[in-house]
Amino acid sequence: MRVNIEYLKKFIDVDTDKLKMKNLLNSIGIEVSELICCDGKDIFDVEITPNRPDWLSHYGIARDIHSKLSEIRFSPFKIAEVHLDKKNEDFSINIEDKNDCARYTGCIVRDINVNESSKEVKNLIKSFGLRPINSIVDISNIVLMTIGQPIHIFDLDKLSGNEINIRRAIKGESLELLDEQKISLNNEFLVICDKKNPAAIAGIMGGKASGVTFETKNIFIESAYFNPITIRRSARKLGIKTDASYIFERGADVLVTQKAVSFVLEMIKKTQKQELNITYYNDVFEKEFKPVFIELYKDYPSAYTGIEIKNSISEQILKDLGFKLNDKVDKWIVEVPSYRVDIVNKQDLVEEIIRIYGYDKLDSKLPYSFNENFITNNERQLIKKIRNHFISIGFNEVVNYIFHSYEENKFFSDRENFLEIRNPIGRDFSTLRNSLIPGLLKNTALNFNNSIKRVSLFEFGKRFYVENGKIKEENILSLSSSGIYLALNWKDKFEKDFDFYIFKSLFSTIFKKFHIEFKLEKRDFPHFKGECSYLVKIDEHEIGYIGSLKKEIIDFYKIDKPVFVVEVQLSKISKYIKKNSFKMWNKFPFSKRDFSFLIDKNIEYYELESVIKELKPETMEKYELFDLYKGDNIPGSKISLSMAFYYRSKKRTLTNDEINDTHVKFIEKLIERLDLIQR
Amino acid sequence: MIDELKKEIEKVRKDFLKEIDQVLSKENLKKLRDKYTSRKNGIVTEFMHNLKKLSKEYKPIAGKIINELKLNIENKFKEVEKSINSKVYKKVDYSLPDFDFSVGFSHILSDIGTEIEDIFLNLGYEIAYGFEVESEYNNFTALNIAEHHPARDEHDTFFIKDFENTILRTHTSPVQIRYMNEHKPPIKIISPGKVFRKDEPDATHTPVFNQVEGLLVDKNINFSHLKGTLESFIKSFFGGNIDLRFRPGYFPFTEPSAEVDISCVLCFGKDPDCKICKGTGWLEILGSGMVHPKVLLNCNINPEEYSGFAFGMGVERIAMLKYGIPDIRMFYDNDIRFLSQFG
Ligand SMILES: [Zn+2]
Repeated sequence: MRVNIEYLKKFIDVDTDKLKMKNLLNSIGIEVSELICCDGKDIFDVEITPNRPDWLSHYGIARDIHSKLSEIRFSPFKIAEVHLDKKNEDFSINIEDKNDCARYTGCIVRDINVNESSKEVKNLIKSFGLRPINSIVDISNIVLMTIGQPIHIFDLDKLSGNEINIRRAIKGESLELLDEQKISLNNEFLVICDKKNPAAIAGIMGGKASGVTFETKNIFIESAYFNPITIRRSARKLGIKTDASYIFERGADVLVTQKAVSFVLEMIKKTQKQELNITYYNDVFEKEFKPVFIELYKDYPSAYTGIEIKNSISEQILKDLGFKLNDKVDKWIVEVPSYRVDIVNKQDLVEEIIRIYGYDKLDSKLPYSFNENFITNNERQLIKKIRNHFISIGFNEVVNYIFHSYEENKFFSDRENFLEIRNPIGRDFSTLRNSLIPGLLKNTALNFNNSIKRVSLFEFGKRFYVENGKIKEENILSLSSSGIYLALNWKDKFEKDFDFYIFKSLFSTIFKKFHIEFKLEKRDFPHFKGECSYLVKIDEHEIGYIGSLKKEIIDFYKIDKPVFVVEVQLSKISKYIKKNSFKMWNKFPFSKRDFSFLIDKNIEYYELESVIKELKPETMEKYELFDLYKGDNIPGSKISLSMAFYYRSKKRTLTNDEINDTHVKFIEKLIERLDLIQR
Repeated sequence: MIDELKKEIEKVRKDFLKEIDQVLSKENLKKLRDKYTSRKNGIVTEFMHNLKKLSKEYKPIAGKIINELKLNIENKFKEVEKSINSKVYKKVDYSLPDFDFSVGFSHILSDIGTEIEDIFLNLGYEIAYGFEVESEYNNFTALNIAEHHPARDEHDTFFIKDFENTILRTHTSPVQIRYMNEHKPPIKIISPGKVFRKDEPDATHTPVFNQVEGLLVDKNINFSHLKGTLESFIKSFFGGNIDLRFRPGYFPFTEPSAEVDISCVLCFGKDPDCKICKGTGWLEILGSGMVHPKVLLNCNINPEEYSGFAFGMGVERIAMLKYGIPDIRMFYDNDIRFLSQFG
């Protein structure tokens, strides 16, 4: 809202120094977002919080400033009210449902001239950020900006029949609005109708046909109170926000409608040469206004703010703001004025007191509050460890939106069990991710485009899917690598790209760190290349997948190098992390025996391993593969492997003979089982 | 005659020492050896040859001097040869460029988030997590934002298709609702996490951003406790020279509510043209207030017995202020040139 500082002076003697004024408004809760100069006058653009419709007027703001600066002059708004219940004309106002419209004050003035407003009035209108229309419409806007009551004025001759009906629209009715927008109506809209047709959408905008023009002679003035929810529903449906709807939605002052009409009449009188010919005046107020009363113990403001506030101060502030106080020894019964629709309880009253007394008077104290519930979150600790681990081996952490396009999600779900957003910001953001990989791929492509040659990334985040009709959220860790693993250097004179073995080895270090045994199992995932697609398992639990993304996917992101990714569920890893207690290491020495052999090339290493594990003698502690060869000098159906086997006992040093004996027996069995050829 | 020879020899010795000092390779050593001791025309060999031409009288003295030179030179050659042999393998040039091993960086949002969390952990707050897909009830209604509340306009909300009343949370407050429903006071938590608003990305908006919210509910908690708590936080995060200011504000779930400003971390209010505070000297950084009694009631906590405060802050905004980051979208581009500047 625009605040004309000069115009505020109508009600208060306030220092018009810009900076002082800005700080003053800030201190009572009105945020000044911009200072505008209009015709040499200082105008503030201020933000009014939705709880304070009473601040949507100059008088309302002046009232709060006065309570802050008690000593300055304050002129309460005074207008001689038209109490006259004039019904010289045969005219009626009919309210269909008093819940929609609690009060409707209407007035007919005949034989007036509509002109352009005077220069001063036009300037005032412009200072409010509005456009001057004609002397009558301009007056309704001045009333709005002065006391915050929306006024609508109809050209009476454009209304048919001698009646105004406030009712819900009927399906099939339509209306062309002042802004020339044509809308179809239905039961959700509250409308102001003449005998036949809707002439205005209540509290939002008038119709074009019944608007006041320079030709208008007779007018009908409307000053009403509409239900905030009714107005809000219609305004949202229409997607229209007007100054009037803004106020009605937040709650207008039900007691100000008559005063507003009086104000309109007083101003019209000034624009006319003769006395006003008021032929009809009626105030339909069927729903009685019941003020809110709040019990406020006198020690409560101090207790709730934590500082001592004298009773006299609380009293003064509330009175200045328009509250009525009834003193009952240790408490006040506080009557809330009709324009403070936001005040319903004692905490609201404390806010009023401390707001005006000054937030700067609050103390800084730390509460003594012992948290009996305190639990250390294990998953957070796990994430911290994993993050530190992967950054230390060269991965960069990324954070992405959780939105992907439909196509991207389909890469990772063969079933359409992912979630969509009803109102996305765009097609590319229309689903909730069911994998973190698309984000990593976007980041990879961006970095490749910036000539970064090694892109290793990881992200922690949630993935979303539907299972048995229920929405699931899962904490995921995803890693990706693409490009150069070892860069060219002056010593080794070669570079090395990431391959699956490097990627898998880097990833598996995290399990070494946590002493978790994991394994891979061949499984065809639709997003991986057939020859490089694996399930990640701990025991028999499937925790994720690892592999090389298929060409179709990396092409989609315009990446021209292989991308290796792994995605695992954090909760499943955290289950396997145990607190290890100390164990003494084996102090006896190792003995190593090598064994080189040919093996059928169709036997995969894990199959060999499972036989080794089965046959392994008690004293064999570990084994390792140190050479793998295929090619010249060995038959095409075979590959050559060289392995080392390590023997030791936990109890004593083994003799050479013992070891030889054990090893030879073991090798014999191994050869027999797998048809090996010793080299 | 002898004096002249002595001078000559001395010159040869000096030249030799100068030259040998620059020899670092076997090849150069051989060249130098040839120059001085080659059988054909080595400098020292020449002297030996010339010795014959000398008279008997001078011969023994000259011979002694030349021999001394020869011995000196040969010893030096041996010494240098030895050192070259070892240098070929062991010489280290520390100034050669390092190999380009990869370095990883944690995301600045994780770092800032962790830093904030750690401060509150030290103050005894527990960290609570919730769901990113939430019910409208937990996100709005329970927080005193009824269906037709104008405050819903300020939370441009994403709705989930095919699921009624299901949205992406617009703040992490639903975590507080869940926690209060499951625990009895005293409650002392912070809830960090992603939140979602339907904003087109621009320099100050992204549809996803991170928040840390806090909640404390106990007996006799008052507004000054809130100020003290936030002051402790601000001073440990930004430094003891940073001041804070409470301003009246409005949130449907707190009463009274306060906007919290901190003194400008860039100019401390001294630059009228300051880019970030625009000369006001203050930066808006937190929203806070005393928990609204209706919110407590919605979670079965008696507001006559208990009171509490809540606060919330945007992690991106704090990072932008602390590091002078000009555009919020940079956090989500994940450009390594950006990521590698922090951590
Ligand atoms: Zn500044």
